[in-house]
Amino acid sequence: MNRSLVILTCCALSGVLYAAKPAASEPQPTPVEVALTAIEAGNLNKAEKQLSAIESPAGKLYVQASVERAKGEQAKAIKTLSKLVVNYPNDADWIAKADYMCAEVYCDLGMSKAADVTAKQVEALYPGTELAQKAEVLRAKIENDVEKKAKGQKQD
Amino acid sequence: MGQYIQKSSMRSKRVPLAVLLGTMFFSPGLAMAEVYPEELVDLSAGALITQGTKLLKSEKYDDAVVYFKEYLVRMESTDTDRVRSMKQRVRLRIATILSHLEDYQGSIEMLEAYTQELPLARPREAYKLLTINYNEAKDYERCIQAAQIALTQPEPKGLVEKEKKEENFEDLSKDELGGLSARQLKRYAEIEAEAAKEGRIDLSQNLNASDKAEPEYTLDELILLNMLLAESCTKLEDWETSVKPYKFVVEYAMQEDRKGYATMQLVNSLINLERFEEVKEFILQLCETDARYDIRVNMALMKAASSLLEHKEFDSALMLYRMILPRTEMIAYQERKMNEIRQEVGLPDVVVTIEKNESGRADTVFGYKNSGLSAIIKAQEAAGKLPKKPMELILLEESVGELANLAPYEDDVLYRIGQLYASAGRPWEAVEALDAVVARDPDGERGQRAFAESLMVYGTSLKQYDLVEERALDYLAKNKSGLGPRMVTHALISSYQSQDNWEAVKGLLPIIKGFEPSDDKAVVQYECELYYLQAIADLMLMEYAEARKGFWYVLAQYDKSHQQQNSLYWHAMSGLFLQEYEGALKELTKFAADFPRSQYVPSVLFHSGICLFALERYDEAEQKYTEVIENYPEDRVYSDACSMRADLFASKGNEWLEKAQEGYEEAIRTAQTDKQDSYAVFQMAAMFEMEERYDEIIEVVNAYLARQDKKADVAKAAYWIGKTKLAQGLIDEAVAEYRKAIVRYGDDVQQDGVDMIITELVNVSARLDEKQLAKLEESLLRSVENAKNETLRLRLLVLLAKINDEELELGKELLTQVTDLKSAPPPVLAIICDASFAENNYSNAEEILKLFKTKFEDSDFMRSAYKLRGYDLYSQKEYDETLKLIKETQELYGTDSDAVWAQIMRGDIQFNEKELDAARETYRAVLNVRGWRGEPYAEANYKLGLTEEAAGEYGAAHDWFQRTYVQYKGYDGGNWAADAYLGSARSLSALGKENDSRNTYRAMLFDKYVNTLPQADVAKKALGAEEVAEINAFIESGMQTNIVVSLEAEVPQK
Repeated sequence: MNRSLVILTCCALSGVLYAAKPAASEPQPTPVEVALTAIEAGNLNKAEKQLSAIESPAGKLYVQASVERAKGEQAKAIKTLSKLVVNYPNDADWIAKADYMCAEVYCDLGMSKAADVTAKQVEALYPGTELAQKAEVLRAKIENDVEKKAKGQKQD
Repeated sequence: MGQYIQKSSMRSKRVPLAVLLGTMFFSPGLAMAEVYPEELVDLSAGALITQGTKLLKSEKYDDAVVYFKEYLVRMESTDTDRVRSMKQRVRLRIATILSHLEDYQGSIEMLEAYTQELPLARPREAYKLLTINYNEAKDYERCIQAAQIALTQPEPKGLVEKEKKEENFEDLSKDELGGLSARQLKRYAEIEAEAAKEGRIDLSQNLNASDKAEPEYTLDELILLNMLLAESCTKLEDWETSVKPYKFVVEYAMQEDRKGYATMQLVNSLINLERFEEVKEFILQLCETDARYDIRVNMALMKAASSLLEHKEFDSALMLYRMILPRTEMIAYQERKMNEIRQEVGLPDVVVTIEKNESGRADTVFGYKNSGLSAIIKAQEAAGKLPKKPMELILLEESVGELANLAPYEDDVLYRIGQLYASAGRPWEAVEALDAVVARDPDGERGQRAFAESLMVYGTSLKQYDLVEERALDYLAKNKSGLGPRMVTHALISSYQSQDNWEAVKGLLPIIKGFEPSDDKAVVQYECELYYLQAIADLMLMEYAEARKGFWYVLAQYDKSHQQQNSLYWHAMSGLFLQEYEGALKELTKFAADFPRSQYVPSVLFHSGICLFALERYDEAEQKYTEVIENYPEDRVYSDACSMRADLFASKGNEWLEKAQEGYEEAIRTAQTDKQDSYAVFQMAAMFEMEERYDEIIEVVNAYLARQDKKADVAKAAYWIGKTKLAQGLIDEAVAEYRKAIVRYGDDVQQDGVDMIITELVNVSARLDEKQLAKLEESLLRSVENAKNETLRLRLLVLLAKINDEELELGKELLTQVTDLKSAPPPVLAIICDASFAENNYSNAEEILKLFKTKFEDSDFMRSAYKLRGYDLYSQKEYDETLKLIKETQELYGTDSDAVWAQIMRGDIQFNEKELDAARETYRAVLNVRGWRGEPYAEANYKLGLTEEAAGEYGAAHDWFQRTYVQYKGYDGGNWAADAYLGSARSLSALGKENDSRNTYRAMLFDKYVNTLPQADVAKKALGAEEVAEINAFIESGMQTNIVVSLEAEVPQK
């Protein structure tokens, strides 16, 4: 095969391959995205199936915690999140989200003080972000819940 | 930090000094001929300069200095403007060389001389060099001074300019000509003068052609000076002064690593200044730079994070800890950076690998990515065929080397993060981090600490008590020495403490005793803490004697320990709880003298007052309370002191009641606990009751209920409201109120107000008519049937039994039914005591009294428990303990009718101990109390007879016996009288009055109260069957005896 033929063949092959790929304007969702969307839709099985495809260890833990939380297994979720927070503190993609979810799960577990502390740290560590705003709202909710509980106890 | 400065100066050290100096101050006209070393004396001054400069060019710095110094010596006496200027330039040159040679002190001396002379052509250069030298010589104070002069006023100030001396070049000696001709020198002078006219050169300072005006500092120089200034301030802990120069560096430094380092140091200063808001701001800035990949920055991060953790600035500390990168990540970053530079200069990429050399030190190997190339490239490198490494690359390689040899820090960071999460209140994250540390280093000190701290979090925050116990006991079974077991035991105790399980804490004592002794300071401190907690456990379990011993043990074994003050305080308090008031008072007084600033002082004063009160030293007690009131209005005991002083006022008489009321009101106003409030309220109510101020009782009790709401002692409040209604004649309302309160609050064993209501309702029931009583009983029975709570049911049963006078029967039933005495309220315990007493069953006596003392200290039902325990101890012949208990009983209940047993028992003990005079006094005292009339009189009379009999005073004995059987024959089924008959007969017999003795027996058999009792058998035996039959016949015939036995000796009556 002469040199020009080789080049032509390569171009042709690449064209075939290119044609087989999806359009560039429609990127495939990542396994994490698929999993999180599935959790939102309540399809936990689908989310769990994605776990093995997630490359980022922190991302995998986040999705796993999300699944556990959605299943109502809050104690498991907080342990999984703790693994993420402790072992991947420099993972900029997941650490802030994990911190925030920790606050939420503590709240679910009725550990208001830990929830408040964690939400406060989200505000302090990620100022000006959407998560910080959400943490502020969560803290207001926690405060409200605590007050309500105190009032309820009084009335009892 | 020093490393960092060296790093910045290292660059210059790699550039030949001559290059730096060459442009500094030598005119191009000064030709530098090749001159080889000769004897200095043979050289002219000019040749000295020339030779020195030549040596400098050849990088023979030490040699060059010799020539320049010789020049200064040679020209010492020459004082022309030109030579002065020349000498100054030579000084600056020498200083620069010496600094380069790391002879900082020599350089400093030269620069100090330079800066004190005019002309001072290059003050900026001089002060910059001085700043560097002082810093290197670690003379930070002078470094700061030099840097501050450099940055603010480098130009000479206050130096006296010497008289100008113009030179006649023609008259100059060979030395003074300095290797130039007179004409050359003249020409240079003319050029200078022209330049000066044009304003190019400051003539006042620059007489030599090369003394050009010194430029301002460059930005790099300013950064360097600010950095050195800031670092010196940091060394001297002048944090405030360090802030501004650090901020300058942060703002202007172009190099990321320098900027990052300065930011980190600035954070450190701000932490020390406790300006935490700014700290946070700069940490966030730091996060955005690549400086975080610098190992020095990482080390500084660790230090700063640790300080922030100590200051409980958890958010900022967490930010910093999270920024600290693992070594591998940092090396990977440095590798990328190195390869970028290498590619720029045409060097092949490398892969960083770290290997240990023979001495165990880490060697960094920069292996080529394509290992096959390695040999070729190395050969090229050796042959000098590869491009030279730029300085930046050399520095990077050095920093990777440093990184590789750094002690492992990742575990420490993880451990600190665990601690941080624990302190900040994120328990699950804390245990995750701490457990990871344990997994990495289970046997190391850090691992063991982490294990214990993890247990602490599991126990106190996550309440995983079983897990803590299981892990801790398993660990303690295998580990006996060092800090680990002590820390783990401490964590386990904390877990038990969270559960209020003090018995379990005490259960750890054998384990603690089994630890291997150690002299290690930390181990000893923990051990001291463990023994202290053992004593605290005793205190919580009301085992005051044991607690006292425990605190003493801590004081004796761990001299001047961290728990010394606490142990002294609680040792004294244990004494107080043991009612050893005299001793406790002494200890408290000493404590206040030894630790006048202790937090315990208000409490010590207050409890001294309590001791004094108990010792009936009321005025002194009042003084102590007053001392607390006047000096510690914010303290916890203030309200108590107000109440106690009010109690004293109230007992002084009517004219003091107003002051007492003020005291109670102040106590209520300042109460910090519910108990303080309720105590003052109900004491005040009792005071109002004495004065029949019923409206005020209602007012104060209602205000209390409104104030305390859910936390109020409602039962006690109901008691007072009911009592007031009764006083106002509203009996039906009062009864309904009481019944309602019992049903509502009777399920809580601690509601002593309910028990007060029960007593009051029993009293009221006696005043009810048949219909009212039936109605009450019916409603109570209904409540019993509906009661779902055992405590309430028992209370209602006791109330019904008391109303119907069936307590003994109920008590006997409850004796077998109530298995858990802890859940029984005071009236139930009291009824059980009475039933036990009736059956001479003392098995529960100690436990019940302890329950009362620990849980129901103020309950009036406790008197039954005292009596049972008194008889228990007496039956065991524990006379000392019995006497103690009698004393307590009499202090509490005085001459109440049901406390007479204590007085008689005291007499019995004295009698048994053959202390007959004392016994006589004690029994006689019974007869002086009108409230004790009746059976106690019978018993006292009889026992007085026994006492006299034992003393050989038979006449007196007979008299007491006779009084007993004559006056008190109806008591206790005639038993006292029967015994007294026998005693009387014995006494008469002892007096030789056999006939009278027999007559006594006869009288006994005629006495219908006693003649069927077992004691009558003694009389029958003494008289014989025949006479007994005669007496029986006599009685049957309805005859009555007129036998009277009298003696001359009368028993004196008080």
